[in-house]
Amino acid sequence: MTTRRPQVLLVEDDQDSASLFRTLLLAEDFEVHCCNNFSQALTFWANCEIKPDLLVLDMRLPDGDGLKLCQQIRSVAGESLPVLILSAHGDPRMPGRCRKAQVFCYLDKLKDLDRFAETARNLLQTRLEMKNKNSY
Amino acid sequence: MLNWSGKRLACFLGFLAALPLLVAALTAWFWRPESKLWIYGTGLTSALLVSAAGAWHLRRNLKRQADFLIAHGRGMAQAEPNIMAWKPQALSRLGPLGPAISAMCDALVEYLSLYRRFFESSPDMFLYISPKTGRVLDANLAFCQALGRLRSEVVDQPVEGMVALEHSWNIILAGEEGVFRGQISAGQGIIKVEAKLFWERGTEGEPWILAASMSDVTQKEALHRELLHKSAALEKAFMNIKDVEELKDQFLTTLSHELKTPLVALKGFLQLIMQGRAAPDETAGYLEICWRNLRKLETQIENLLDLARLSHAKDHYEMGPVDLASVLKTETENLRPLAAERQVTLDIEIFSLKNTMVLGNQEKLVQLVDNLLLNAIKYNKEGGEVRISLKSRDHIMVLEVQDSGVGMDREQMANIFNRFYRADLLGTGRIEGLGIGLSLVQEIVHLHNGEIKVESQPGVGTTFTVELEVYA
Repeated sequence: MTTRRPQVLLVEDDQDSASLFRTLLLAEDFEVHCCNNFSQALTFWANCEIKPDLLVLDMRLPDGDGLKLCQQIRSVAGESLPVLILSAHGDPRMPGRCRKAQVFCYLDKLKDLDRFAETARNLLQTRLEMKNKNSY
Repeated sequence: MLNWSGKRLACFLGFLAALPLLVAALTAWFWRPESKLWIYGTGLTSALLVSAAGAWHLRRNLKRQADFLIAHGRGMAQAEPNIMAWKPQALSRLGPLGPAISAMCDALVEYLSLYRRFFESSPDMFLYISPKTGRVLDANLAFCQALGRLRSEVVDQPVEGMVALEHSWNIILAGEEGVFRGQISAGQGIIKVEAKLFWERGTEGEPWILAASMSDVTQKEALHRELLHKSAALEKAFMNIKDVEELKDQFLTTLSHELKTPLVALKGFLQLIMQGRAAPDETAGYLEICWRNLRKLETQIENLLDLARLSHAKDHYEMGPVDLASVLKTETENLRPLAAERQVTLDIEIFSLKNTMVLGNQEKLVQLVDNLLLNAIKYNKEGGEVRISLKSRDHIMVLEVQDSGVGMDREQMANIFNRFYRADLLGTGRIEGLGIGLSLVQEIVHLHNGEIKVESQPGVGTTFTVELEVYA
């Protein structure tokens, strides 16, 4: 029996940044699906057969807000879906806004770049452990 | 207890009364009639008649003087203007009471004169008004001067013809008191007054005389208005500062985003290469991404520095003859690929001009044309077009960049050249750039002593017109 690679949905509008995060996630041996904007991500979620195990969202999207996208997907997928929010704003109010929206993982794209892969790995590991626990 | 004049009068009257009796006694003595009764009866009757006439005369005199005193007392109480000129010389019939009353009168006149000095020297205006007639009983100098009239033209005139209050005088004269605002139509114009009205009351509390103390508040009201005006201006300035603060916060957030985003790819891919985590065939691609983002950063930083330099160091730019038509053609061709990518066509029309030279800075003019064309492409519709034209009018070169894009409303047009203003023209909620593109364009136009205008209609498009002087 072959184990399924963890699925990650990456939503980032800047092509070069998306390319970097995709490279870093692929290096962790995850399967990565990339979307450029809010509506594309919603369409992908509605149509994909295997739902991703982790959402990596840019806070500022051309057609909406990353936190709103997170809330919309979670309203379908459930509150336990891990989400990692990325932002280049440097706004000190951002972590607070994330916590309010029940998102506990927020990284500054530039400052926390070194922690990105590790954080994504930990989130997925926790998610898979929980899934396994529930299946027993 | 009568004085000399009174005593003389009394002696004279006594003598007159005794005379008939004396005449009767002498007649009876010398004549020796049979019956003396009628002689004494006649003498007595005559004496009685003379006494009665004397008493009547005395009573009449005393009554006249008492009436005079009462009238004078009333006159003083009602502050009649000529009362102080009166000298109580005709009180001789009252004996020592006369000088006593005169002394009291002198004391009162002295007191009245003190009061008048205070009354006249006050800068505030005082009036006494008769409640029955509504006429002025007395007015001080300040009031007469403010009105530009003599006292004789004020006293005994209806008060409503001189002072207009916010309340009708009829209501006030019916017994009201308090502080009222009003105005005096003076010789030099209108004097705004604040009038304190209060009643002098009689012994039983009935309204007797209405007293008015008025202050000139024309200057105070003017200052008040000025203060209100300044306060409104300050409030507006404060709101502007708040707006600028908000704009500054927005700008810092945007700046952070716009500068950090290229750095993310740059840092990330360079780390991969440096840590040997990039496959040999991937390295060139990663370096290309790094280079592209480095250029993005360079452009952003240059734009920011330019804006600061153009604002404060205009004299440091080298100016020379620049062929505007050539700049326009080159930049249009450079931007054609980007326009094609967005399905926007670029049409350039240069009218048959002999001279297309302007005195300017080549690099800045390229930047100006670039920014205008980039905006016209960025805010255009899919399948839209950008029309670029260059013509000349009275030694002025007129450059027009017209797009068929989303257009702008009045508010957006009013702010479009403001530094850091970024309109959500595409309606996506996401606004790209630092919001300095058009500020830069405006600064460059000012550097060349030119003019820039914008016309726009939502849903139809926007036209930017730049006018620069022809270099001869």
